[in-house]
Amino acid sequence: MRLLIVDDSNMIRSRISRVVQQGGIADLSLVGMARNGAEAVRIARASQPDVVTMDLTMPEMDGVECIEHLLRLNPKLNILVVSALSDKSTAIAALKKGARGFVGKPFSDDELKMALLDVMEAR
Amino acid sequence: MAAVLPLDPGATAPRPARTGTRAFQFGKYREIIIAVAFFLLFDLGVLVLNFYTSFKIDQDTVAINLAGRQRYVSQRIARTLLELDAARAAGRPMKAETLAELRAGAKIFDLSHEAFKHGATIPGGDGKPVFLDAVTSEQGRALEARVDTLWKPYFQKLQPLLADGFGDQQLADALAYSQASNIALLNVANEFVTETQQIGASRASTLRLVQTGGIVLALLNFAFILFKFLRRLQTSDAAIESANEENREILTSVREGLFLLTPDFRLGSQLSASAHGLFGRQLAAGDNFFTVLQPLVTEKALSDARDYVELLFSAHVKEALVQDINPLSEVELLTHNRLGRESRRYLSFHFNRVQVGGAVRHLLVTVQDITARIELERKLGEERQRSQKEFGMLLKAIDADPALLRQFVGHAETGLLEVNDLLRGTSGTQGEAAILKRLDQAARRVHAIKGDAATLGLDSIAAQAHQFETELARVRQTGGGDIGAALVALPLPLEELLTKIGALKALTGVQRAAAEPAAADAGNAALVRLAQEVAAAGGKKVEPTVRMGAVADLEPEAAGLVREIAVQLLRNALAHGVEPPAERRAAGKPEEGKVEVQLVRGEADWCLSVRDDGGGLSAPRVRQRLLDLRWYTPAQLENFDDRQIVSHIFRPGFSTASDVSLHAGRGVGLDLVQANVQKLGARLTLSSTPGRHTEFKIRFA
Repeated sequence: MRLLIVDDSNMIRSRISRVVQQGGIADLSLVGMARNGAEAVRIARASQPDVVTMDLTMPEMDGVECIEHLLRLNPKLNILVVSALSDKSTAIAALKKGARGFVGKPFSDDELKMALLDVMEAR
Repeated sequence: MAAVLPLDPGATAPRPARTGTRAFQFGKYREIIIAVAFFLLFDLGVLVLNFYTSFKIDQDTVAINLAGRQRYVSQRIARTLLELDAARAAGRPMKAETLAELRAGAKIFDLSHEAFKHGATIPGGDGKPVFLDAVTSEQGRALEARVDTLWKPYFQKLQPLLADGFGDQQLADALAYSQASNIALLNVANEFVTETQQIGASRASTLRLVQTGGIVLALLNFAFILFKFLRRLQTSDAAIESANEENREILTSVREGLFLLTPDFRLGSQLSASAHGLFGRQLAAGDNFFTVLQPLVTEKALSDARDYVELLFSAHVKEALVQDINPLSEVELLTHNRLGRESRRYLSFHFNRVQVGGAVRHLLVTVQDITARIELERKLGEERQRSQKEFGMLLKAIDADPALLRQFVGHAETGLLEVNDLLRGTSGTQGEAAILKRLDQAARRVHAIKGDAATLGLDSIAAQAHQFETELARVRQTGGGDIGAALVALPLPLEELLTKIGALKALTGVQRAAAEPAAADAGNAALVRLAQEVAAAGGKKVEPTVRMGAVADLEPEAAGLVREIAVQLLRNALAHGVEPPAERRAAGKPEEGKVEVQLVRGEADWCLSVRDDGGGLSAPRVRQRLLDLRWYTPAQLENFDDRQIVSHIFRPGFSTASDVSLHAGRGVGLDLVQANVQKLGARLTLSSTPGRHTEFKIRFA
């Protein structure tokens, strides 16, 4: 499966990509990284990801709006929200839009791996 | 964590398990099914036998009928022979129908006879063809053989008569044989009829036997089924009842609120007894969950909860990956306990999917009262804060001048023990006035400790002493006969203060011994710092000057009293004398107030002076305050001059500050000063210029 990482923090992006590439999740390869929602939509058009990790608070286009756009491109997209657990309402809104799961920042490598495996299943 | 929800309901596992269940059910009922099969088999067997035997009995009836016909036909043949012979003797022509009857009789007898011997289809009684079985019984065959020996020659002799144009001799031969053997033939035919009847009768009795046996077997079988089935029903009923009982017990005694939530958000029929208590109202199966929740949570929490529950019912979300955003993981609510008092409680809701096949059929809701946990967390937080403060205080104490600290500890300890004695000496036998006086003394000691602690920057002790003062003030205000009861509450804060002082004492033991008495600079610096702290707390600016070096030359006891006075007067000057910067600016003074504390050794005596360049003592303000405190009536106040009015500032409980704070407002400071002045045998003078300055001078030998 093809993974797109969407997060405005450079640290988080490289952290997730490291977890995915070195942690060796079978069948998952990184196809792109985006710093905000708008960029994510552009990259998704070109690289057709199957799995997306999505931050919620980002400049230009936030996560909730981005989820809507991405699912319009590919309704079968597996979206995992990776965000700080400061506002449960926003997280719930993101899941209502069609994201499949949530991982709170800060997260451990194993937490992220398990969540990715969970989200990749059966869709 | 929890299970994954497949999107395609047909895709996953539970199916084999279900067929397994079905096989198990079949196994459970196997005996009964086999018994029923036997029952049917018996019934079918009896039916088939019945059918077969009935068919046989039909055949037997045919045989009986045909055996009767043989007897009848043999007699007809004999009679037609006689008729033919009579016609011949009379010379009459032979009747055609008599001849035909003879011929038909001979033919039918022979056919029937052959059929009884070998079995064949022959014309029946009504002329229609019927199949006749060969006679198989021993008796039957013997009788048949006898018929055969009689009939064969008879039929031989009848042969010529069967064609037209036979002679008289031939008729005579046949007649002669007929008359000779007719009786024997009739007897045999009779016996044969009897034999066939017996065969039929024995078959009918066999049939009855078979039927009876079959029915008995079937009844036995039925009884077995009934017995077995009832017992099984009883066993499974008992098992169900005991399971139900266990469920009931669990639901009535579990402390969590437990129930299922249907996809239309209604409560399931099984509710744990605790659920009602946790929600603070009686719940009923079928209630809407959010209606029940509404009074307990905020509007926003309610709409979040609705969204969250909907998410759990929708297939695209992973249960394990939404636990963290449960908006009801900590719900604060105000309820009334059984005493009718308001109590704050915290509930935690947990939701688990109940899946059947691929679909989420219910949510299992677990409600827990987590008040104890939350309170523990809060206490831990407070404790952590407190120990941080304590640690900060110890750091400050380490930082403080060792000699000063030692002085403070010694002083504070003596003071507190004094307070202890004062309080212990306060028994109910004394008058209220005496008790109040002792309380005032105690308050002064504690106030002095507070001041000293603040001077050294030991905020934690200062705060605690402040709290103790509050307690003392409360007791003082209680008045009346309840003072004794109110006093009971005091030893605890006193004990706590003593413990803290004890800790500091241990610390002074660890600190490297410093030269006694305290370095003069250290004492001065501590007072400067106190002045700055008090000023900062009051939003004021100050430029303190402290020259107390000479205190080292005093006797330790006097030095302590002088230092206490200095501390109180310094605090007083900053709390009440020095004005806030804006006010000073308006009055054309520099923003920073000047406070001078100095101890000077004169020719004959000592002089401690504390001077500030603040607003000065205002007699009208003191007068107004006295009026507000209702200590005097306006008429009485008329009689005081300004000097007398101002002297009231030394009275216990008097303060012009409107609120009590750590640094002012108790009306204890100047009271303490006066008490110390008395102990020193000193003289206190006060001079003040409104708007310019206030100066306290204490002279003692």
